[in-house]
Amino acid sequence: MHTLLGMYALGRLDDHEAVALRAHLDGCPDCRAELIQLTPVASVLGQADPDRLLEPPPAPSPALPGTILATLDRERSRRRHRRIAVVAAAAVTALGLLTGGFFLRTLVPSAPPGQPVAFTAPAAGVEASARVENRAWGTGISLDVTGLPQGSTYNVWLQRPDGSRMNAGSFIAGGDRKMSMNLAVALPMSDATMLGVSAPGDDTAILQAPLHP
Amino acid sequence: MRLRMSRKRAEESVGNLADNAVLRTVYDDHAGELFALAYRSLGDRGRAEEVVQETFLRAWRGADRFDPQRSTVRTWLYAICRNVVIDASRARASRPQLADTEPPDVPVPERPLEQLLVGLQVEEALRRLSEQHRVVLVEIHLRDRPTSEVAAELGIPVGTVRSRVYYGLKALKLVLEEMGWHGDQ
Repeated sequence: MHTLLGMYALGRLDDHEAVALRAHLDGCPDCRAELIQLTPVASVLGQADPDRLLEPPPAPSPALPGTILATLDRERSRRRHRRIAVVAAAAVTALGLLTGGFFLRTLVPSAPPGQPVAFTAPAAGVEASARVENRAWGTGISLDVTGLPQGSTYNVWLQRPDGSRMNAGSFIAGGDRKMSMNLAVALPMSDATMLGVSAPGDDTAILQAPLHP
Repeated sequence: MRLRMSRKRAEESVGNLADNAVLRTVYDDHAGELFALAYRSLGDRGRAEEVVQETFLRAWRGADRFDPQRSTVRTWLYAICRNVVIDASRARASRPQLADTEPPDVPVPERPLEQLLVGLQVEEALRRLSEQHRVVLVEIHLRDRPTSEVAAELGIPVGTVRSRVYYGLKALKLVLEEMGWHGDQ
């Protein structure tokens, strides 16, 4: 009898059979307990889409784990720098202001890392500057953008010599407010020829800067 | 066996996401599903990858708040991912749309996102079932086909189809529970 419970839980027995099964359930605590077990799973089964099930599940690009690890690596080093800065500040207090300036300068990197790149012919009213840095895990990018329409989303990418692009992240533009960001890409800097910004779904570069002029 | 052990380790020591090896195991176990959720929600591969990236970043930052006594890694990552997807949908909704750039089937409010989440999870569980079990559940319940027709197509008695539905549901429940489902959806 219990093999009918699956059909019953799914509401797939005809009226006659359902009545018979309910009569059985009245006198059978085991089957009742079993039905209670099956009911939640029967109710979520209907949420599945049989057509989606046939498609292979979409998979992220194989480069994604590298990008994530690189981003975390960057975040870690930023935290380390922050910690060094705190320690350095303590040292300054202890040693006195005269020598302190010297200590700070040696412990905390004073200039932003990487080399500047120049964006060619940005649209009127748009200002952008960026630095790129070759790292063990790929390329680090720090990007400042002003003047793109407030609230719009943009993708940042590196382009390879063959014209293919590797996603570097995305940002929401702030209109006249300067948006500054650090991005990490799992692509060695020597393999990239161009840094660019475009709107999602449109390959046209809104901003682009050659990396090896 | 080794995989199983490293998974177990990842489950226990996710608080230690600082370890790249742990992170990689967690990624291998869950990134596919997180990506599928983001992709189905947003309809764009690039944005879906950004969501996965942001999910792992937030997980890494909040790793000390993860309590293995209270939830599985999967449930925890899903909760983060859901928030990132919602943030991403809002960010997009707040800017002007071009009519033809909107991907189909984009759930906007949060309730459909929950449904999508459950649906994708059930689909993933169905993929892990045996062919025998999956076929009857899909044809009879999802495609709404008469048992007799399915039985004829498979060349087995109706009674066998029904008992496969029963064992299929039981198997599905086990797989869903293994995936961290508690039957509260």
